[in-house]
Amino acid sequence: MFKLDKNAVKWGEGLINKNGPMVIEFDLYYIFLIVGLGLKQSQPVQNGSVFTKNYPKAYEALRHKIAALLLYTDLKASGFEVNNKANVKSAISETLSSSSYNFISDDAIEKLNGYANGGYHAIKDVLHSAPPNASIFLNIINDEFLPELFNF
Amino acid sequence: MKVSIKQIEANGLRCPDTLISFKNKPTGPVINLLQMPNGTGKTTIIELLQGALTGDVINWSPAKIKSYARKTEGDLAIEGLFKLTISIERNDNHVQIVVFQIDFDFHHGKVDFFTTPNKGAGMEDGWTPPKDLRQYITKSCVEVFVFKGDKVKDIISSNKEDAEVTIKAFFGIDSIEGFVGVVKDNFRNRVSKTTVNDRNVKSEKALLKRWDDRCALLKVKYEEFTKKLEDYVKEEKELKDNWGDVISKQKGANDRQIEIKSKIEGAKNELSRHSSLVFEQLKNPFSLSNNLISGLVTMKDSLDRMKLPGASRTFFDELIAEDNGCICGRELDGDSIKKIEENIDSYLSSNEINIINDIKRGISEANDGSSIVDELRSMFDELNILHERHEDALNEKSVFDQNAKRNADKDGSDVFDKLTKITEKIVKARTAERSLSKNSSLSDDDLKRPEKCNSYIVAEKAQDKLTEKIGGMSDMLKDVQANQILQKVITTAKDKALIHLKEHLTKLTNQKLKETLPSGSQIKVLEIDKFVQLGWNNIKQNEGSGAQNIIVAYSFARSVLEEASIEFPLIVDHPVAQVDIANRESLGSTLASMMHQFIGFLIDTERPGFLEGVNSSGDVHYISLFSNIKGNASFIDSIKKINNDETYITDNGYLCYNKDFFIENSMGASNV
Repeated sequence: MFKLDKNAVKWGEGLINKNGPMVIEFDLYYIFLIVGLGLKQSQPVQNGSVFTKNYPKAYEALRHKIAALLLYTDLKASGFEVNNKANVKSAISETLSSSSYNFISDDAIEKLNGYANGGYHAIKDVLHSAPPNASIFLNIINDEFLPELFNF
Repeated sequence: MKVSIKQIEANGLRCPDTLISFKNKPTGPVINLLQMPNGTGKTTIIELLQGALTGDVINWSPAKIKSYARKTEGDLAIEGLFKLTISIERNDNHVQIVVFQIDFDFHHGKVDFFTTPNKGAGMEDGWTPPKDLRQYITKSCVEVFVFKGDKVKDIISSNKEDAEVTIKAFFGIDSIEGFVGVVKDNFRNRVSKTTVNDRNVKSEKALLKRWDDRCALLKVKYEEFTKKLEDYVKEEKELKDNWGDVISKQKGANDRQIEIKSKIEGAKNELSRHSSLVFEQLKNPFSLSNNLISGLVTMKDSLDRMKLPGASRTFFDELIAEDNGCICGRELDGDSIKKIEENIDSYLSSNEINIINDIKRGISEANDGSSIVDELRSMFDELNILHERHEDALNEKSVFDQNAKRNADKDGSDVFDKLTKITEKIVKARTAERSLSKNSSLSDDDLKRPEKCNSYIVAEKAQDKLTEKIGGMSDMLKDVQANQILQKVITTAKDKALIHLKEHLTKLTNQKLKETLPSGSQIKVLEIDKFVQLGWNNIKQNEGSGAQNIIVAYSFARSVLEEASIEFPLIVDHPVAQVDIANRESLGSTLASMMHQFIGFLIDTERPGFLEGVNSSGDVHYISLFSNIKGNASFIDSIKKINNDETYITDNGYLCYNKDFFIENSMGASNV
């Protein structure tokens, strides 16, 4: 179950607009997620609300890429070497789920929720309130965050 | 069924006393162009036309009714009359003439409404049009073919719901929603009447009562804001017109304003289109950084070195199950099977292997040398440039407005200040209205605190949830389930019908766009939801050019009418005010192909280009209407040279159907 903190939803609701570029709540979640993963910042969701059970259609093709990012960030965050077979195997087993439509286990989705929440807090530290529209938001993400992401 | 406007008669109102005949033909289209100097009562005529057709005028407040009284030297008229004559042509070629008549009593702020449902028949009290027409001339339906204010933009604007409102009104979806409300109310009444003497039930009933009160309060607030917003929008429209008048008095300002507007629109569209492309590219997370790609490649290499994913768990499961020995030919004895079973969990399942192989493939693709990272960066650079371009265009407008304000007289400058203030008020009222009708989730905690809720939609959800809970606690479980099923059936049918209609209307509108827009035009309707979403090649855009927006809006209206098997005239206030001169001619020349009767209220600044286009498009009926006042002396002199059968003169107004008079005498803002 994909969850966002209620404050995060409130913070970003004005960015979602049928006319694009960010049209669904998952678009906001995705931006928070890449920032959280890229900065290795995770924060548990305390006051969350579930907004979708599964990846929406627009993100279906990204399922394995997001799983890869989670796997990679988690291995890096835990300090394990990516060439230690036992560690990698156990990380794969914990993260991937053959029975889930989302390709990842429920625990792994909880981890994603944590990274998305971490990303929200990192963004909120820079932008106390959301910009007036998603186009400006994307520009700020590019200027302020993209150069800092995945520098580990 | 084909409905046409035949005549409008007005007496004692905020427009000259007059009798205007509009032209229509049994076959083929007619364009009626009506020009009036500003302040002559154009808005009055359009509003009364709508009020008469819908019968809505019966519900108007005394203050609103009184506002239509003519003021002559400070005195208000005591009574007034507005008469609208329409013709209805049915498939059997029978033509029915229907007259709606409004008698105004301005002294008491009252109206008497009469309908003559057939030529020769007597007048009937009230609004009694033919039954088969009634469903199409409700307030929401009439708005489909009467274009005033920013209606064209409202149909395509993402923060408006005009397209969906239109579809719901025209195809009876509103009535189904009303029916769901009746079902809910009925069930709530039954539940509230249960007499179960249980403390928990009583406490939930008390909570439901608190929710009922909260919901009622929020609905009142919502309606207040909706009403306020309606008034603000109306005021803004008048102020925009007035500001347009102020600008048109300044040399060259009108053309410059159109030029800046088109620059802003162009920059906005470009920005919106490119933002969507950037976000699509950003959705490939491997394009975020080169560092990430090299890290992922290291991870992939490690997986390869470790021979991961390696063999599948399924392989060993099948090996044991089939009992055909090992693949090396050795027989599998008990010890070997035990050993395999002990280690089987350390292998991954087939599906996990597929996922890992997909991951590895994705990493290889990202590392194929095409540099998706550089591509994303250069797209962001372009986005930056487009933002600056949009910002520059907005600054240009701001400088233009400030200059126009400086060059205006005191009244003009006041108009600008009022317009700025009303625009701010609209933004605030819209925010409040949105928050009062916001649909968000309702947790068990939220359910306990009605006073914290600020949306009537959420309050309604809470009422439903509690009603079902109380029903379940009061031995009404079967009724609860039956009610849920009934609501689901109705709602699903309604939702499916709406989706189907929207898809069908998208196709129809696109067919009409193809017929009407110049070939090679890169704009179409991508989808219709709350609004008409425009775009090209699946890339969304906020709007098209001024002319494209108009053609989209008219095509959407025509599609709705066609689907409902009815034809109405298209009545448009300021048909080409938002179109640059270069495109007016082509728009004017295509108007005739769009509907059987077009009635356009034109002002002087719209004439260049448009008149040439309209003139070439076929049968045009030119109408000029102006008051008998000093400021119109030149028109009054000219009209004296026109044949009597082409004029209609009253004590306070002149009406003229002569084409040359129309062409030679330009009316609008310049005659204020």
